[in-house]
Amino acid sequence: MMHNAEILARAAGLDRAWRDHQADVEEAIAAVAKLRAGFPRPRDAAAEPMPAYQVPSK
Amino acid sequence: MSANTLSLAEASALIAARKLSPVELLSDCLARIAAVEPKLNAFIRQLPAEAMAQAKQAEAEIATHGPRSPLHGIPVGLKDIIDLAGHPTTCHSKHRLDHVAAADAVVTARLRAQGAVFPGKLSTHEFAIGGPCFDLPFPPARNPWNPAHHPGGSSSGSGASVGGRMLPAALGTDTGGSIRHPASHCGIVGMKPTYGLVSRRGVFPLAFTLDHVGPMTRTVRDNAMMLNAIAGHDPGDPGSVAHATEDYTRALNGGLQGLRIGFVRHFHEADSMASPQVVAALEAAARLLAAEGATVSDITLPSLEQFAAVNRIILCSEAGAIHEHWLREAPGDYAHLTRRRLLPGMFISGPDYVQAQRRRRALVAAVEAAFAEVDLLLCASSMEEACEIDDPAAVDRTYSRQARTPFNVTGHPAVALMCGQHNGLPLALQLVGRNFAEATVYRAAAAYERAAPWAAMAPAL
Repeated sequence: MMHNAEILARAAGLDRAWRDHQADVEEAIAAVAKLRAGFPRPRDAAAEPMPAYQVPSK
Repeated sequence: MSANTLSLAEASALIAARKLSPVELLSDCLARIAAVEPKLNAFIRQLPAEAMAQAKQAEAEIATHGPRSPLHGIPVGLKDIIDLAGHPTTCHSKHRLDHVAAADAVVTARLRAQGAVFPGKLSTHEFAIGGPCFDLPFPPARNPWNPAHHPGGSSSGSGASVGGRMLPAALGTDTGGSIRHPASHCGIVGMKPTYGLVSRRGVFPLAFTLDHVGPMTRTVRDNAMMLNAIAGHDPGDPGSVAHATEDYTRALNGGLQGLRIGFVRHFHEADSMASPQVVAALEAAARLLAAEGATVSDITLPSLEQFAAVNRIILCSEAGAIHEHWLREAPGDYAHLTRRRLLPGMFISGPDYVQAQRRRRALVAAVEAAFAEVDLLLCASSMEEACEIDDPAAVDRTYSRQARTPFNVTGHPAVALMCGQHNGLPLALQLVGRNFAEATVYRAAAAYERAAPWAAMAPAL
């Protein structure tokens, strides 16, 4: 049975990195989980991200 | 006195007065490079013959017509993610050893048009994100104040070459602090200009919405002179802003009278505790700025943690898009540290990236609100002096214990300059201005530089 981290790595196309640098991949997954909690989400569901898309002027 | 110890402004004035030739200046710089480069590894590629040909041409042109700009005949180093036509842009990486630039980056072309001389391509952290690595084709740059220590990065060769008196000026890039970090640790002046003021075209990207190109010099005046040369709208850079051309040296003698400075103490007292020496240096700087005429008061911004998380999610996502192919096909060709820094980008979801960009808008609004109350912000740069370069845990900490990323997230101009010394290594502060208010940032930085003793100090290599 595949490890959760391995499933994520293979889904990201990182088969080689998982094979040769497994500890780095596991560290990256853990780092993202921590980053995700690093700031609050907007209360307004319609809040625009930055930068806003603008059509080219010409 | 060797000409390599002159500031850019001093050398420029002597060249204009025909008291110094570009050939003499370059010769002294090359002699200094020969003497100290073995200790500092600031260069990936030295170009002495090509630079000497440029210096001789400049000498002949100046003898006939006078200098075409204040940079005519001045040696300038380029971080090796910036294209110089006909030479490799390696990004300090095995992945890019064979890449030869077909054309100059826009900033290189602007410097070339002003008559600058290019003595070489400078070390960087791999792809401007890794760190000091010992498993790459080129060794990491070292700190000119003590080569056993980290020079900061990612514009590490730029910091080491200017701090080490090898070159009067260099260009760096800054996505999460990479101009201001080496400027802080090498005891020089590093400016991250307003986002979009300086073209990024021909500079290998790290993160499109956070990348900035800027000058690294030994004095504030030199820095403003360099920004004069490289700033300006580039229709070929989608992030470039059509801002009117300015003379960034115009307010250098304006002093501090009438300026309101907000001191962001919580960055280094609560969010990330600075060393006692950094705290003391910042307090002394605040007192000096006030004594020179500024009104200094405390101001509160969102926490460093929020800025750092937003910066890292955006940076890693955008970098992940750039490096996806190599991360999948040749992950072993990166240095270990670079791979560790890039891999998180492959696990950040689309919604996470958008949430970070939504939070970014709120953070920009918070900093803009602060600028309704004050003209400038004063804050820490690094939370301690440079660590030893061969201590991986200490090196890792240096990238999180800093207050530079907020202004990559918001895009405001921020300069780092020396404000103290501990264990023989420089300490630094940051001054931050409103968007496109670089002239005001330089005005305050120049006033501080004149009043403080640090600019006269040089490393004893």
